[in-house]
Amino acid sequence: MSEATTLAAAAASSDPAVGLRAVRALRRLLERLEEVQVANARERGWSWQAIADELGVSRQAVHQKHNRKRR
Amino acid sequence: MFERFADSARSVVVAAQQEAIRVHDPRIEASHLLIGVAVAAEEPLRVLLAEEGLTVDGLRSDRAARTADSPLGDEDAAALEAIGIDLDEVRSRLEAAFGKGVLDGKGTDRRAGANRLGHIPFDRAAKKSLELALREAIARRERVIRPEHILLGLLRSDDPATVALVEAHVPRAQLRQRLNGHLDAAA
Repeated sequence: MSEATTLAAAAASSDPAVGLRAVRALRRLLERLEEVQVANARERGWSWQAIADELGVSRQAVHQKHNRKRR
Repeated sequence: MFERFADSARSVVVAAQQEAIRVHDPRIEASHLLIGVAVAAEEPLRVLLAEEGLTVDGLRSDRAARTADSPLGDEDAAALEAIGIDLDEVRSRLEAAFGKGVLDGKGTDRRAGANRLGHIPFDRAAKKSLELALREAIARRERVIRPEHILLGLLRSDDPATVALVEAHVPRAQLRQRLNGHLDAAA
């Protein structure tokens, strides 16, 4: 890492705008990742309950969020 | 209901449809119509919108940022890099396991419903906005619906996504007033 990028990274870490932007991007990445993984699990025949257990959420929550038939 | 639409207003609807297709949404939403207005706006209206901060690029990126499942872009990559996450690396690992574009596409099931070439349906808020556009024209005793009326309809519709996109730049009442002034001047 060059000195300039090190400095930029150090400055970025305390700037709320950059930090909050990272949180937002991470949230979006998380949403995409969850969608991909849940879809994959369903394709492989996992039950909503099994998916919910792995995600550590309720069956209803995961079903409501990912079951496409509701749309 | 499109008989009374001016060519420019039809262009708004077409642009809205293209926008929905572009971002892979199964329906034309009110916020797509808003972007459609910005895309199809001709000179005086385009300037008015730009003065209020409503540009095609700005609206697109605002809308994408508010839509949790829009593709992750360069801004996201930069933000993630700042906290040590290499989005390209995440992307390439996921693509190795699940195929190309897996991080950008949405669930395939959801998309399958919209036939990509034919027309996509309006959602309820979009439909309501177009009806309100008609009413705006009637209230102003104007026979032809223009993009300005569509925008006035959108402002009346109370669609949360659309209102948020507008009010990030300009209060609704202020934009409404400017649009009415603009139409008065054109009359």
